[in-house]
Amino acid sequence: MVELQQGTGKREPDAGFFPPAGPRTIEVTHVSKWYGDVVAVADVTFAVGPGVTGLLGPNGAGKSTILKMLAGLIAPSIGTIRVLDQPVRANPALYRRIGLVPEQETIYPFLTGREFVRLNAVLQHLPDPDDATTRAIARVDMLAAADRAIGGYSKGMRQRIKIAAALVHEPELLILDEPLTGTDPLQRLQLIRLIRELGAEGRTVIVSSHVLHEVERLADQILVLVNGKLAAAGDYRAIRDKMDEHARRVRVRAADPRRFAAALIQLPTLESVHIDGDALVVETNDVRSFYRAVPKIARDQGIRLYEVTALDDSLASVFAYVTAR
Amino acid sequence: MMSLSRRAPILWLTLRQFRAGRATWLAALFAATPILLAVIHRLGSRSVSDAEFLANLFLEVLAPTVVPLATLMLATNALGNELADRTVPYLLLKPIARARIVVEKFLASALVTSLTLAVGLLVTWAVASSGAERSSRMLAALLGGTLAGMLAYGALFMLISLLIQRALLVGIIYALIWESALARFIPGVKLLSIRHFSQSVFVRLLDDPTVTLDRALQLPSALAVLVVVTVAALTVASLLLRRINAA
Amino acid sequence: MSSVPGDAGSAPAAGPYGEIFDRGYQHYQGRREGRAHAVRALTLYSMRRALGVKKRWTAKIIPIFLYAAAFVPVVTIIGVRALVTQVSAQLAEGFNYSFLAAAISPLLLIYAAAAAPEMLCDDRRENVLPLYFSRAITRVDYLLAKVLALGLLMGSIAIVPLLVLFVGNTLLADAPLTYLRQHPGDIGRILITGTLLSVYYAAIGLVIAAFTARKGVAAALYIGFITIETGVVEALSLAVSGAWKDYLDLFSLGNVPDRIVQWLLGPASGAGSAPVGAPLQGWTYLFTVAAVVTVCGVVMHRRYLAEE
Repeated sequence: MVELQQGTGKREPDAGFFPPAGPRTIEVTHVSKWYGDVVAVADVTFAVGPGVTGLLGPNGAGKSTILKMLAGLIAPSIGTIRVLDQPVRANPALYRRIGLVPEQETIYPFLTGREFVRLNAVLQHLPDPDDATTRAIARVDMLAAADRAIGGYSKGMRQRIKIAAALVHEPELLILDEPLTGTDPLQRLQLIRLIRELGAEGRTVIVSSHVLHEVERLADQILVLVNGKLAAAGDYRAIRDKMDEHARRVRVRAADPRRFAAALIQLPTLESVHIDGDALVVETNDVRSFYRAVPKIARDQGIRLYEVTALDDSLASVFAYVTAR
Repeated sequence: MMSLSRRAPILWLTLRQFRAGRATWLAALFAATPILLAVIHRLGSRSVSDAEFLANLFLEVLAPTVVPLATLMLATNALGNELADRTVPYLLLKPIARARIVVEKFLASALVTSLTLAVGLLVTWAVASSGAERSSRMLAALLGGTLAGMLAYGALFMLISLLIQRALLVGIIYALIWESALARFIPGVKLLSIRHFSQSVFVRLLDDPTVTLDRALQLPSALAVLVVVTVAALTVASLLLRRINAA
Repeated sequence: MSSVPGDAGSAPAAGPYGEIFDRGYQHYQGRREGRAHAVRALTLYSMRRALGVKKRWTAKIIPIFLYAAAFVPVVTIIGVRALVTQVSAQLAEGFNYSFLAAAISPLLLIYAAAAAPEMLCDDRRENVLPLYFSRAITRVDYLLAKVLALGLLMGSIAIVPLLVLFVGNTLLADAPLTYLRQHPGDIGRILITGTLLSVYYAAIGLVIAAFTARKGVAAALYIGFITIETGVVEALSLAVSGAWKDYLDLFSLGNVPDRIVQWLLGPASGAGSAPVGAPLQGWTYLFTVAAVVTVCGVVMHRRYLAEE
C-alpha cells in the first residue's frame, strides 16, 4: 500500500509512521526540538522495530538531532521518546543495551584503536573486556591496525573503530550516525554487509545518511527527514517508484529568459519549459545531453548564462519533488 | 597500568589525555615560574631574608597567580575538552554513575596539577633558601597552602567548565581580577575568596609571628571550607552531568 | 490513510508499504554578492561571534561583564555629577581621563584574551579555513576582516567610555562651548591612547591565538604570558643594579599600557592606587608598542600569508 500525497489531500502535519507489525524498539511520539528560534525537529512521530532502518535526509535536516535524542544525549523540547520500553534520559542503566556511533570524527587521538575499544568494554562492565575487544575489532576487520594510535587513522578506519566500540557489548539497539562517510568503496561494501548482518541478528539498527543509494543498499525501511519534518516513510522501493515516474527538472538563469526559452524549445529531449521570473524551469528526459547543449545554445544566441541548477539531481532535489506543492 | 585502566578507566583515560595535551605543559610552565623568581632572588642583591622572600612569594605570587593558573589549566580541561571535542558521549553513554565520571576526572587533574606544583615548589624552596635558613616547616606550609588552593579552585572550576565553554577564561577573570578587587575594596568579602583561604592555610601552617594575614582563618575552619567547597562542587557537577545536553 | 498514528496496527494487505508526506522545500533564490561584501560579512560575523550574539547566555557573560565594567562607572559618575552639583568639581578631578583609561586597561587585556582566540582558533580547529579560501575571499581579506573585527571590538571599550566622559565633561561645564575651546586636544589624545592600547593588546592576542588550537588555552597563555613576564621583569629590576636598570621597564609588557596612558593623558589623580611612577620618558614606550606590533605583524604574515 503506497500513498503519495501530491497536490491533493495534504497530510496533517502530525502524520507519523509506524511499522506495519511486530515489536517496537523505539517509539518517538510528537517530538520537537528547537534551539532558540531555530527548529531542528518539528513534531516527528514514528516507531521502529528490529532490523535495519535508514534515516535519510539532506544535511541539516535534523537527522543527528533525532539520533542524539534517541541516545538520550539531548532532551526533546516536547514529546516523548521511549527506547526498549524505558525512558532514555537520565537512565544510565539502559546504556548497557544501547550502542551509539556518533557523527563526529574526533575520538581520543592519543589512544590506540584497541585501547579505545577496550575502554568502552571496561565501562560497560564486561567480564572479559580483552576478549570482547578483540572480537569487536575483528568484526570490523581492524585487527591489523588495532595497535596504532587513532590520531593516525584514516576517516574510514575511524568509522570502523567507532563501530567496534559501539558493538563491543552486543547492544540490542545500535544507532549509527553517518557511518559510511569517509569510507572507500570496498570498506563501504564491508560495512554495509556488517550492518545488514547486525539487523539480521535481530538487533534494531538505525542508520542515518544523506546519500540515497547508500541507504538503498542498507535498509528496507526508510524514514525521510526534510527541514526537521518527516517527509516520507516506509519501503524504499515503493517511495522511489513514486519519484521515478517524473522527468528531471533543471533550473536555468539567463539574461534574456524568454529568448533563451524559445531557443531551448528546439531540443528534442525537452519535455517542458516554464518561465519563472528571470529563471527557466526545464523538464527533460535526458539531463546529460541537456547540460551539454545549454552552454552551446547560450553562446550561439549571445545570451549570458548565470546559473544552471539541477532540481532533481541530488537527494535535495528528490525532496524538492517529494515536497513540491 | 593495565589494572588502572580496568579499575579506574576514566582516571586512566584522563591521564593519557593530559600526557598528550599542550595544557599540561602550560600548567608545568606556570608551576615553574617561581623557580625563576627564586633564581633571581639568589643571584640578586640580598635585601630580604630567604624566609621573607618565600613568604612574600607565596602570599603575592603563588596564591594569587601561579596556583590558580596552573590549576585552572587542567581542571577546566579534564571535562571541558571532552565537551569541546564532543567525545563526552563515549563516557556518558555508559551504564556508570555520573559521579564516578566527575570524581575520576577530578582526581586525574588534581593528581597531575599537585605533582607539577609540588616539583616547582620543591625546587623553588631549595634554590631560594640555603643552609640553616632551609626550613622544612616553610616547605610544608608552601605545599599545604598550595594544595588547599589547588583542590578548591580545581573542584569549583571543573563544575564551571560543565556550564560555560569559556570556563578557563572565566576562571582567570575570577582569580586574577575579581579576587584582587575583593581584596582591595571589600575586606569583609575576603572570607569568600579561595585565595584568602589558601593564604590562611599557609600562614597557619607556617606559624611565624612576622608573617601575618588580615582576618586569617583558623586551620580547622579552613579545612572545613575546603571539604565543603570540594564536595559541593563535585556533587553539583555530577547532578549537572546527569541532565547535560551533549550536543 | 494507512499511517495515522492510531492506525498503525493494521498491516497492509499486500505489496511493500511506503508513503510520502507533503512538506515545503526551497532553493536559494537571492543575489550573489562579491568580495568586498564577503569581507564585510566576515567582519560582522566575527564580531557577533565574539560578542556571543545568537549563542547561549554562557557565551555572552564575558562581553557583558566587560562592557558593564567599562561603562557603568563613567555613566554613574556623570549622573552623580549632574544631579549633585556640589561634588561635581571634586569628582571631575578624581575621575579624570587617565584614571578611567588606567582602570579600563586590565579590561582590555581580558577582552583581547577572550576575543582574539574567538577570531582565529575555531576556524583552524574546525578546518574551515580551506572553505574560506576557496570562496571569493583571499588570505589577506580573511586576516583583514579578523583584524578589523577585533580592532572595532577593542576600540569600543578602549575609546567609547572616554568619549562618554568627554561629552559628559563638556555638557556639565558651566559654558560648554568655552570648555570645548579650552580643551581642544582632548579628543585627539583620547583617540590616540585608545588606538595604541587596542592595537597593542590585539596584536599580542592574535599572535598567540594563531598558534593555539584551543580558545581557552590561548586565553590562558596570553594572560599568563603577560602577567608572568611582567612579574619576572619586575623581580629582575629589583634584583639588579646598574645604569641600564631603568630600561628594563620597556620590556615589562603589562606596564606599557599604563605608561602610555600616563604620558598622553597625564597622571591618574584621585582614588585608587596610583600606578607606579615610570622611570623613563613617556614617548620611549612608543618603541615597545611599535616593536610589539612589528614582531606580531611579521609573525602573522608568516603564519597565514606565507603558506601559499
